[in-house]
Amino acid sequence: MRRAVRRLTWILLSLGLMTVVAFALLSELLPGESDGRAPPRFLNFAPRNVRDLSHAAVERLARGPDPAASSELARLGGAALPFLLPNLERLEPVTRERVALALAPVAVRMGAAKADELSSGPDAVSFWVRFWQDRSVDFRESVVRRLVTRLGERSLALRREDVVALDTYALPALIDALGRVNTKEDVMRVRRLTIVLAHVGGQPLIVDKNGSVEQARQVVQQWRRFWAENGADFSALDGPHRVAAMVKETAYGRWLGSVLRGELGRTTDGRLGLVLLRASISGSLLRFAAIAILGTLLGALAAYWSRRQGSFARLLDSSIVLAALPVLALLAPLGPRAGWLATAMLVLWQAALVAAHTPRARLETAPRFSAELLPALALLAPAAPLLLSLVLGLECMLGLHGLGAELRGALERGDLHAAMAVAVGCAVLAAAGMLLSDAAGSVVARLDERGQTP
Amino acid sequence: MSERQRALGGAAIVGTLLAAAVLGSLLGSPLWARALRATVIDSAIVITVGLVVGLSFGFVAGSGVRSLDTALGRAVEITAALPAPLLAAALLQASGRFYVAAAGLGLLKAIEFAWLLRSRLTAERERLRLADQSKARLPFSVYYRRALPRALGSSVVSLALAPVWISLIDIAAVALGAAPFSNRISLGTAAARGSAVAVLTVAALTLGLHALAQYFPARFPAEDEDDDEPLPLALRRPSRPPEASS
Repeated sequence: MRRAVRRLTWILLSLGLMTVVAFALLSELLPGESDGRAPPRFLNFAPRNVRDLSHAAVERLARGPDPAASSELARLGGAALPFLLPNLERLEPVTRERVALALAPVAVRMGAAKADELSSGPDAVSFWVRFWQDRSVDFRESVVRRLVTRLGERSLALRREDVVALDTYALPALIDALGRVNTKEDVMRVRRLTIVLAHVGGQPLIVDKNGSVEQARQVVQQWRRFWAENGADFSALDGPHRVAAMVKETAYGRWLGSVLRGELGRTTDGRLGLVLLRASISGSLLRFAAIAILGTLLGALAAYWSRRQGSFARLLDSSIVLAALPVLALLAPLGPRAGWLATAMLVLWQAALVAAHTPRARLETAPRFSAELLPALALLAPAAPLLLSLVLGLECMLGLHGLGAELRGALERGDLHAAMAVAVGCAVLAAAGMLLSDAAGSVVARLDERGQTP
Repeated sequence: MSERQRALGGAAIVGTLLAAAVLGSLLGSPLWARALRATVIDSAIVITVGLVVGLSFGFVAGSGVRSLDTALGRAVEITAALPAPLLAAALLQASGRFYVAAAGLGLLKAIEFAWLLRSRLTAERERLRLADQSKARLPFSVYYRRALPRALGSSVVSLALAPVWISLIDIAAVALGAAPFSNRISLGTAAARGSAVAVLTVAALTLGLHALAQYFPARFPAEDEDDDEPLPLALRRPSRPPEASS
């Protein structure tokens, strides 16, 4: 039992390492779009955060009017206020007015002012100076958490306004408060929170008034996905959070986050990686298992008979002709209807390969099938990359539904997450093959030991 | 047909194909010769990397060094999950050179070869230990002189199958539509596009290499059966006092 647990742990660790290697290779193969917002692959020494983004926007506004910087400040909203307003009066007068005017949509969203009250630069500056003198005490984590908890408990207009007045500063607490959805009360709580979230976050993701538990779960999932992709823009990232963000705010970190959320990434056509995998793995699994298991058994059986029958040994030697053929090239004309026939040909090819690896040394004891099976099973693990490639290639060549077709589609579209889902599928197939080979190996070894005992 | 005759036949096939590749290059590189040359060079790189890295790694892991054995096991698990055409295509994309991709595939082959060698060495070690009937650690020279040649014989076949292995990866990469393989000229890509000559050339090259691989390692184990050579100390059967029968 202990050995099995240790083996499983190692396999899981290897799977983790494999995802790193596969991500490195696939992101090299599918570089994707480089629109400037794409994070680095594995390590981000300057993770995006609200402090840096807001300061960068202020610097751009200091150089001159910049609509993009203004809309960036409006997008960052309340989360940027603790970094902008304390230093507002230290800015150059022109820059100060530009920043104050850029923040005007935030004040409107917060319900703190009307648009026409902030139409001129001096008015906007005096409004924000007064606002920070009155309300700076509310922009603290403990305060916002308390307000959000109260909102989750009961829906009152006043409680809602309290949270709305903090704007995007309340986003982390609101996302945390979504929690799990199991009962009707949870649905109501999530509805209350998502109304505020939709207003503050600018996403139309609200649970309906008579929404079901399932719908509420979906909405929560969508908000979590939004937060995983954009959360860093509304977070300050201090201390350990900054260190964690160096990994989390990377392409791999985001993909891993989606794995932990049970999504396995999101393809460019909007499907979840897990859905893609579920739909396509069964055919590939059957083909891989058939080729690996039947091929190994047939190869070991042929080796066993060759020990017993001298004439069969010569036949076995000539089986290398089959192993020497690039059999995949011969399967192409078969077409999609000949999927199982092609698989059977690959089984024979694998059997010939196993037989080709069989030692031809003279035996000191009588031949035993179990003794031939052990080296054949040992061959299974290192042969897995080729077997997987054969299965994927076969599916593409014959147009069969499976991981190969999905991988081809992913390579054509440049879809990294779809390709990663296929890579995870391959890893699962390989891990299953190895566990099977290990289990079969230990059973066969025991049988072999028992067979040797007089 | 004796092993020697078969090896001679294999050498003739490999030699003819190599000569054809060289001659084709000299005579203006017809497509078949270019494809053959690419596959031969790639196979040579894979076999060299596989032999150098795999032999040393597999030998040390198979002779009982636990840490290397564990590392090899993890390497096998990681590479087992990685479709080889993707590895080759990514390396090709990153470097722009087929040699780099072949070296990467060579590392993959080295792990395979090392694992096979390690498995066979472990079996040989058990055999020697059973023969010895003692729990003493066997000296390194025993592995080197007795276990390694026996284990090498069947493991080296995986290297001999390198041309067909590389061609299959080329075919799978073309089938998957990996962009870096679209301009590649090799026997595998030609076979993927329906060239029967390419299929036959791959098979002939593999058969020749296999015959050579079967012959040379088979020369070594004869040393093991030399009864005149004294066994190392650890392999001598200890003289035990007769046990009292109950």
